[in-house]
Amino acid sequence: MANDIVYEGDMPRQAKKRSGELPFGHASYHAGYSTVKDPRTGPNIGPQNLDIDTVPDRYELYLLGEGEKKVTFEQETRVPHAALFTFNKEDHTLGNLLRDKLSRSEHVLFAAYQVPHPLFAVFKLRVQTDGEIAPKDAVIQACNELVQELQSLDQEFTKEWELKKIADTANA
Amino acid sequence: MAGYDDYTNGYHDASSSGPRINIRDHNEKTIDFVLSNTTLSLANSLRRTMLAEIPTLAIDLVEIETNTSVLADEFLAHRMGLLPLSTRGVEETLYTRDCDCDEFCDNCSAILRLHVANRTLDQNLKVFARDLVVERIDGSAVHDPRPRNDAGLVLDQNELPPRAFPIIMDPAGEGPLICKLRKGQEIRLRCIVKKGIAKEHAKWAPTAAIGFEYDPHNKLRHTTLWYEGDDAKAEWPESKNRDWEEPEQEGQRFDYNAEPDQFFINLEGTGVMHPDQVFHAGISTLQLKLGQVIQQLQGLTVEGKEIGGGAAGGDGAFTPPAEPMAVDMGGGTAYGSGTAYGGGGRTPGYGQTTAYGGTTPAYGGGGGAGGQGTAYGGQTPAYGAGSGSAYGAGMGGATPYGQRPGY
Repeated sequence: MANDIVYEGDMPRQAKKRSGELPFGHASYHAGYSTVKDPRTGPNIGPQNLDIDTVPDRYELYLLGEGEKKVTFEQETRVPHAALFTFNKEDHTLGNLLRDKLSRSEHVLFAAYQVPHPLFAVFKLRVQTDGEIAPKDAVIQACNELVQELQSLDQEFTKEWELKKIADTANA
Repeated sequence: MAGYDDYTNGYHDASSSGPRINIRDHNEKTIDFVLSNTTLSLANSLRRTMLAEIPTLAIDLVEIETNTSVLADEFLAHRMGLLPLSTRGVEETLYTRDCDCDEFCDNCSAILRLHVANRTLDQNLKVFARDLVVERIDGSAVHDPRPRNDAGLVLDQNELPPRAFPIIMDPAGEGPLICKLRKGQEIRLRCIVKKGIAKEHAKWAPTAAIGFEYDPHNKLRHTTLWYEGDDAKAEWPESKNRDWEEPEQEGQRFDYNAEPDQFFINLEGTGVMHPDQVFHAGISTLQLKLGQVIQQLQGLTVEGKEIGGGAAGGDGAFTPPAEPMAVDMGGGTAYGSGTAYGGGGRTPGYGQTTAYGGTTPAYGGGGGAGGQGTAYGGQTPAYGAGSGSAYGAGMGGATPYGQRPGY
């Protein structure tokens, strides 16, 4: 059916919509911006063009793509001791946690994160330090402290849970 | 009992460091506790992790051999997917994408079979989750060793059944209703159970709901109450947590620097794991996330180049800070001298490891030992020494990203 489109010169003929068929030129229509570079995504964020076919696979929310790194970062050229981290396949769960932890560090002057586009599981974290410590090391330190804090929370919970169970058996 | 209360009342004590927990109430599905001496961000991240990222088991594929019931195949398949299944042994279960089998195997899946027919009954025959038979790939049935009474009911309802068994919590021991069959109708299907997380599909959620409240008197003004009359307070019911915090004093000045410190959490599980397990699994999943970031960042120089990678060689003269860093990584960090990066020139292999798959068993090993040793902490460097490392080439390399069986 598609073969009987007749070209007149260089111009395709006006679309004639047959029943159940998309008009001419709509056959490869994408529900998105297949080749448009989206300025919001910037460099090193996931796919360069927002190529939205249909529903993306859900595992793309948490599985790193081929060759994709969990974290990359670039130093900022105009501001000293500042870096922009890009976290792939992560969301507010990690972004807000790190941001908050970093902003409590005495060496960190600035820490903020954004999710550039809600359809991509990516967030960007900008960190500026006072120079005592590199932004990268500030993030590593924040992660280490959080792991320790979670560990003590885990132990605290275990302790309380065991105590509660002992109290329950004593009551029963 | 009095001594116990005295003890838990100490949770207000600000002098102690680290998060505090006060368990207010609990049953087989729910824990109600107060988390304090921590930050809103940590409490919220933990909540989000428990909701969406704890690995559990659920039916992922349904092979329908016969379905003459009134329910359409896909409708039935969806219902099967939502059945809660026991997560016992989920730590040892691999994700199918990380497994080296062709399609699925006992290491990464379980089989549930359902064959029910109403041949003679004039009433509708109800099909329940208890009618599911758990099998291995070779077709042999898996036995549920839990002790039962004469009526065939499990004695200890609190004990989780073996892996992938349907969770049955009702007193009649029937489990969720799957469908009803009229005379002459039959369903016969084979379900493949897989490991997954709720970010992919809510059927993998271990939690039914997590109640999360802080600042019940709205002293921090994080909430603006809607009101239609004159007084918002009169129109809104007071929180049940109101007695746990002092109400605002009349004429008190607003404290701009105040931060929430106390979080009232009601963790309600679906029954696929005990609620305390949900909490521990949430913590370890979040720790794993942070560990991945540490792991990845330690492989980068201060400029963001990969240590030992091709890029670093080019501007060697330009990167004096990279040298002390490299030394630091070898000797000083908690991750020991034998990090995966020591070899240099090689990508850590982390990129090939999936976020959860390869690393989970190793983590479970550490956490399961009573939760004492930190998986990333100074005492037990889980990243060290190559051979024992979950991030080593062995598991990471075995899971190339391109192939994702099961998708």
